[in-house]
Amino acid sequence: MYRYDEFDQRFVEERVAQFRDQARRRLSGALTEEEFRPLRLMNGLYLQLHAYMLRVAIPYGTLSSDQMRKLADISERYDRGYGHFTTRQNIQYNWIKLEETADILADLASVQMHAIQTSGNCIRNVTSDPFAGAAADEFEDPRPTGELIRQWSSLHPEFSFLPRKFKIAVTGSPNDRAAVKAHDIGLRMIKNEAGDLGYEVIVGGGLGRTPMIGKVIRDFLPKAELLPYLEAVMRVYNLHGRRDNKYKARIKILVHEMGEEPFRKEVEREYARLDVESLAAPAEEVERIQAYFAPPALENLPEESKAFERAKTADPDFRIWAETNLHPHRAPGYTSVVISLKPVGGAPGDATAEQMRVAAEAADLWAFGELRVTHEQNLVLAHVKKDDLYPLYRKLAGAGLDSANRGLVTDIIACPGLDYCALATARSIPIAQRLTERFADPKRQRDIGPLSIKISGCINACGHHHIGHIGILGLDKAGAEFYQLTLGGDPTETAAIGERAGAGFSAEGVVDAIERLVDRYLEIREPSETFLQTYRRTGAESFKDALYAEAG
Amino acid sequence: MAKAFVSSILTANDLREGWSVFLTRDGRWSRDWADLRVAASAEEGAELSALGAAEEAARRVVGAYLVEIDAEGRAKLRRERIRAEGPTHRADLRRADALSEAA
Repeated sequence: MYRYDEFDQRFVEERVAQFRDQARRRLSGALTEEEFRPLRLMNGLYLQLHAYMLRVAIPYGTLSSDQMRKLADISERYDRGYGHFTTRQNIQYNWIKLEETADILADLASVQMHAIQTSGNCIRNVTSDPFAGAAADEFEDPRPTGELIRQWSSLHPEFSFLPRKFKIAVTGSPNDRAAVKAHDIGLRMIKNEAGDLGYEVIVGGGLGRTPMIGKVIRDFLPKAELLPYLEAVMRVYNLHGRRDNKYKARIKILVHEMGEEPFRKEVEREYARLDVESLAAPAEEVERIQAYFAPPALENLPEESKAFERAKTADPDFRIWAETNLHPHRAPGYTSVVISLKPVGGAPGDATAEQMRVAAEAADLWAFGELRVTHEQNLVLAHVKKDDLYPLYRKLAGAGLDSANRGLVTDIIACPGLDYCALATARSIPIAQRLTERFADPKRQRDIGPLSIKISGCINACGHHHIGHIGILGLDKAGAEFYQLTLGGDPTETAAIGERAGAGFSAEGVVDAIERLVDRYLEIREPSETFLQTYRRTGAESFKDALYAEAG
Repeated sequence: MAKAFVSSILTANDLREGWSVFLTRDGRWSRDWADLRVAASAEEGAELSALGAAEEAARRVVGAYLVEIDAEGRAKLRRERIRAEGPTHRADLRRADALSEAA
């Protein structure tokens, strides 16, 4: 993984010192809250419902075991012993003190981490495929691209005050596990007819109050032209993006209002004017970054592992876990492991300090000391020998990290909702808790098969409800929480925004409503058809009927 | 017609520590929703608001505002009850003195 050079380290340390002084001046009265607020937000420090909240960047979701241990230490020393992994592959702490924040940032800097650009109208943490560098179906590891964009966009003077926040996602695989079509810019690595690698550039996707699927504005962008082309897109957005209304300020609105073709032309016109050569990353710098992501020293192993097969026979719980929580690795004898942060009755994405340490230790013992955070709010160990899976599983089980539910109905994404968030209109986590309890039976979950439920506690859609197979949006109706459902959303390469099912449900009623949807699916599915496939084949009516028939 | 005043208490966040706090009858900021100073009229509400602004200026708190309460002295809005009593998803995160379930 990427390691800071001397310049990176100095830059981050200077930022810590700068923030320490800003916080001191706030506490001494030299800065008002109005003056201080944008400064703290530039360092990821929000004032939330209960306390300050610190959002720490985990670039493209990759971190080392030492970094994970530091995150655990911070949660204990400065917070209440846990952290929340988010849909942007970051971690949030919910109970932070202003007077300790500079110390936390210094602790983060000691392991090459920071909270810069995790808030504000700038280019945020670049997100990516959690199986990057390991997946069997990948063209190329997308993380060097993510790192290149991170370096280019960090404190980019021209793009520090955009009309609105800006999110970029990269995938190196044709199977999109980074929801790139739901981002301001999505980059999909593809091969052209000559066999060269490049990017399909997708612009103007996003969720929130106006969900949109991104539009392809460049079918094939040669890799070397990435930064100049991004520069052109950002310039068009910076110039034409609306600043009069924050709800219409995202690039998706600009692309929508301008029209896809005029927007594309405007970008190409800007691009033609740029000095592409001087803006492109120097080849030696690209190589330097690439070298940090060199694959670990994998052994030559047979595809089959006898130890793995034996353990599956001996321990049925392990077999169930192995059937759901592994992801195909490109090297024989290896696999990627999903560590679910979705126990029955738990808060999706929350991990205690102890769980973070156990995951870090497992990474050290069996996964080259590296972890990933997924946008689905789980953790991943990317390179694990199948021979090592059973001891790994036993270790995870000892810390409550053995939920066998990756991609299943209880693998729910949920934003913090009204339990933490000042913007929320309803709670998300308790709905996830009730749903995981309702569908706790492992056999039933596996019978239902791949099904994603995503919950947001307000229309800002941090819980990605629009792209859940079943989306749940929590709202407030005359003081009561109520929940609207959307159906048929899809975050992948076949991306789709879910359709509103109809009238919403009470907090008590929504779990029953979801169960009726699932039961209807089980009734009408064809053999081996997933929920989404059934929905696409039959349309919404049959599901709406299941939801509302009783109400007459 | 002007909206009838609803009895309210004063809340804010502690500037240094961040936690949501509530102004008590004896003029302290407390994490506990107990013995709070209540404004029962528009005049008292304005007074409490002014006090909040002064407390912000004195750099003890940030983001002071009035919270409407019901006849039992609970916050009327769920948001404010959760803010006073803690997240609802884990019993160990609830404030020890929580008056009742937020939901």
